[in-house]
Amino acid sequence: MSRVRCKTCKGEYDTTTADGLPYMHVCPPVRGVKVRRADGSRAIVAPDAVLADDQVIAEVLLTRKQARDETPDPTNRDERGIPRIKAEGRGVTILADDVVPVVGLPDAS
Amino acid sequence: MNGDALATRSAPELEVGGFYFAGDDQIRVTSWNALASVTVVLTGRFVHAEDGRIEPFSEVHTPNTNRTAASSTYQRARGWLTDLSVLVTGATPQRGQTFVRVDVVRGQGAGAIALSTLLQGYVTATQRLAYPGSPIIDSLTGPGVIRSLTGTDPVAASEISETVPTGARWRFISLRAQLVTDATAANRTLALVFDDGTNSYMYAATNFNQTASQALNYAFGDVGQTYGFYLLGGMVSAPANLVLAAGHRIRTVTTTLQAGDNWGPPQYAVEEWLEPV
Repeated sequence: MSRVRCKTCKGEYDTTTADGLPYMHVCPPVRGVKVRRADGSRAIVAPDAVLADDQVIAEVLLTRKQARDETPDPTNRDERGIPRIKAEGRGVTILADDVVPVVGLPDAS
Repeated sequence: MNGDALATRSAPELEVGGFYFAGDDQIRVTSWNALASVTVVLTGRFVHAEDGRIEPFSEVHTPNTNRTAASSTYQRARGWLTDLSVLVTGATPQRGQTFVRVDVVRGQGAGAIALSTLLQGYVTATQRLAYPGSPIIDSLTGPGVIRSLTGTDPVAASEISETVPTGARWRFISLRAQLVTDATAANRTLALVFDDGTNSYMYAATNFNQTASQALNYAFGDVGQTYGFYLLGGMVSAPANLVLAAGHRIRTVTTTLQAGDNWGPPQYAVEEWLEPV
């Protein structure tokens, strides 16, 4: 088990869950808000960038650029026949391998 | 049994019960598995038509660990398969984690024709499938495995988003997470949203605000009524028995989420079944 950071969304996760199954990270979507501007034009903006005179039309979810999707793609298999993940994205950074250090707990094993 | 075999075999062989193999038939085991280190073992006995010899056999199959199908094929001579058992070694999967189907096929690879299915169902280290005897059961029948997962810890100003993996079906039970807000004055309200990968179809929303510089814990589950605890967080009523297919998502939506607001990793419980793809 490793602790990794997704280079696309910067989320951190363990590659294996506590019950021993692989954890399959998928980057969260980017939230936006479709608005009608005061001049009548439309735009999709970040939720915290809605102007006071904007009329909110709808929330939209946008796929993150180079999103990572670790769920398997049964239609894309490697030479051993094992499905590859759907999208590598920008890859991951390994933060820790195997062991999470226990600090300041002298009685802990 | 076919007519040729009946015409040529000797009298003692007529007493052999079992599934007849014509000589170009094979046993194919297909597995869907979610747990590492699982090995599927087929054991059984086979009566050879040529000499009446009873052959005990054991075959080993290694499943994939990402819920996708893996297959192995084992050639059999002409004769009768009298009995067959399937069990798991190498790990201790629970019901819902290793699903096996055993077919009799003719031909090779993708062009093989499945003639019959002998066994199908979940198998564990202590619960076997057996031919004859075990019923053919689909993977969504009966209880699944109860899982408690730690999800991705999102970066600040990002929402929680957890996706049902390919080859799985989940029943949502509960989710707990903490939102730490920065010093920006704003009322944050939030909801746990369920979507199909694009469109949301259910949400469970809070009915109270989280303000600046707070660290509140939220628990979503079948609690009947949503209520908040001052400076602690809240229990949020979420639908019971909400079943999610592969690709569906569980995610938060936080209004007025600020640049320094930070969700911690969600801890959530689901019941999981394998759904072969």
